[in-house]
Amino acid sequence: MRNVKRSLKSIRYHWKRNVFIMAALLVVMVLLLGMASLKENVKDVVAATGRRIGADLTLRREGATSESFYRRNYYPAESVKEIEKWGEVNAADYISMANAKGVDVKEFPSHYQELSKQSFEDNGLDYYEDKYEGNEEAKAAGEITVIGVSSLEKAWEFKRRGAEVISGRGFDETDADRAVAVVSEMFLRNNPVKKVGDEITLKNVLNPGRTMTAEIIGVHTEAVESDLIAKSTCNYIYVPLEQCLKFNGGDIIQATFHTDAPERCDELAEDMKDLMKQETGGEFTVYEERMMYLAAITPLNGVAKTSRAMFYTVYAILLLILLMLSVRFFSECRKEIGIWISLGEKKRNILTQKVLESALPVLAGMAAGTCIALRMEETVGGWIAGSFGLSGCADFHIAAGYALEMVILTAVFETVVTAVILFRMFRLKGKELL
Amino acid sequence: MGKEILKMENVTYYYPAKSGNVEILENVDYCFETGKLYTVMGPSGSGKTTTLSLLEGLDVPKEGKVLFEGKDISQINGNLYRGQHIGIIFQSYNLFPYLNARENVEVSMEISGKREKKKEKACELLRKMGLKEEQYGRGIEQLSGGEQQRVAIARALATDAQVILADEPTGNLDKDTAEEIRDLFADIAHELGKCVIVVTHSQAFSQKADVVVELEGKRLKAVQVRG
Repeated sequence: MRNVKRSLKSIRYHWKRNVFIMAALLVVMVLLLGMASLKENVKDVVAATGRRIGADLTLRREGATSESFYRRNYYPAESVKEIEKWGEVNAADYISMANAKGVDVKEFPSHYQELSKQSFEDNGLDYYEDKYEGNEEAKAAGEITVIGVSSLEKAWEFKRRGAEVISGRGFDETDADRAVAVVSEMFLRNNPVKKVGDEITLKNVLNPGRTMTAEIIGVHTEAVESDLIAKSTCNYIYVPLEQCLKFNGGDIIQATFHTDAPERCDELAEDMKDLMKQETGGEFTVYEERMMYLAAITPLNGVAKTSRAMFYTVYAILLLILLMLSVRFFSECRKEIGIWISLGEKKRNILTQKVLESALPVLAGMAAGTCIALRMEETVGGWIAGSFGLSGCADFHIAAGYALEMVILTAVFETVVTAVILFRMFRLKGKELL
Repeated sequence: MGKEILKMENVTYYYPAKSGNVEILENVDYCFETGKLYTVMGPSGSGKTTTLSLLEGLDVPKEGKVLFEGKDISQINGNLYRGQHIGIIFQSYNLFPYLNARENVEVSMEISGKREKKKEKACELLRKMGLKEEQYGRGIEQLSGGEQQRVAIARALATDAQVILADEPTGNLDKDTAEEIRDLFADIAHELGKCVIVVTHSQAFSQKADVVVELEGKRLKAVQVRG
């Protein structure tokens, strides 16, 4: 206890030096916490972005395409039911048939298809001949994609408000046994004789005897006005899952699972392939669609990496400065240590006193820096949100956990440095210290 | 006649140099007694301070031994020896600037474990050394050189050590203050019965000493003995 009192008295006596150390540590701590927090907050923003943007994992038999026409590429919808229960999966769409033919409706050729046809012709190829390898049925097949979901709100595009019902209504589990459909605005525009309340009939080209007649109960906007095939949703017809499966005898060509954990896509894809092999005995391919997520997080990750590099650099400089301050401090109190030894003080007590003297101002500065940093949460958050347009940073929080880690690490560092310097001094004869 | 308290037995000390060992002390035999004031004199570099360091246990002889009450001090715990059996006084006082006068005296009592009524004892010692009560709580830097040396003497006496070792204790003081300090040392030896060994260049100090020891030819030799 007397060592503590002596340390405090010495700290008070050398107040100018200690105030300088505390002030320096305070500033450095605010900077360090700022950088650590920026890194952590960006991580949160990345996670939030991931949840908002999400990613699609599309499961198809190996070698199959979404518009694949061959029976061998279909698989039972039952085999993927397990995946829908996974915690990371929050919506699933099943395509029972991508090539349904409209009986009383005409499908609207997507811009992509037009471009594709044009490209074939420019190369002297017959689009239908080459794409469908002479399969007459395929050539005659349509472009209507029948998507089955248990509830329209569970369809990813609707869940994230990329698409919405603008006329009529959607459907949910209560409509499972009803032959209803929600079609796109553009589809309806190209079929002027059809409107909400009318019926449409589709033909299964793999099994011409099978047809589906559904009442149009709603019209939806398209998710994205895009040329990308994945987003050419004009010929998508949403129907209750049961109806969709009934249309193709329980088989699907493709299942798309939507996850709000895009960072785990690779892991999920592997799990899906393993499960499907187990369920069907066949090989499956999982197509990840998370380009938007990756494009969104790349700059964010850059910010996180820069903050991390700056954090470690500043912390390393801090430790170096502390090392230099310690060396200077102990060269100044070398004689004092000699006096303590000549008075018969135990080395353990000298060590304790000096560790406290050198570490307390450092730790006090760090604690004050932490308090100030915590009080700056809102200001910093507002500034970052305003400067970088990171809306997630409006809820900026200081990563206080880092403060504790840094304080502990610095205290350990300071103690070790003090101990090493003092033990080197203790090896000298008392006379040499005086 | 005092009792033998500190004895140098066949002590040799040298320090290594490029040209070979430089011998400072050679086969020194000398015995110090309680109740006497010794001054150790000699030209600069003759080994006075080295002798003091050996007696303080802050350095060890290359050969021979230093005995305290018949025991080799290298066999006694260094902290115990310096904390309880000897008191050291330096030329530049070597007080702790962050402690006040009284606390500087208390420090040696805390180290020696004699903590009972330390505050009262420290005040008593400071009073005996001639400090005024209002000076007890003052910072060291607010005291004059003479007052600081009195505090240092009080610190050396605080553990009731039988041996007081001082290195040029009046070296930094003016003539009058130095005279007062010399008297104080004589009183400590004669009235308190301590063995006081002072390394000094001062002839005035030697006039107060009971025994003047001179370092001559790497050996200690009593050149003047009073009473």
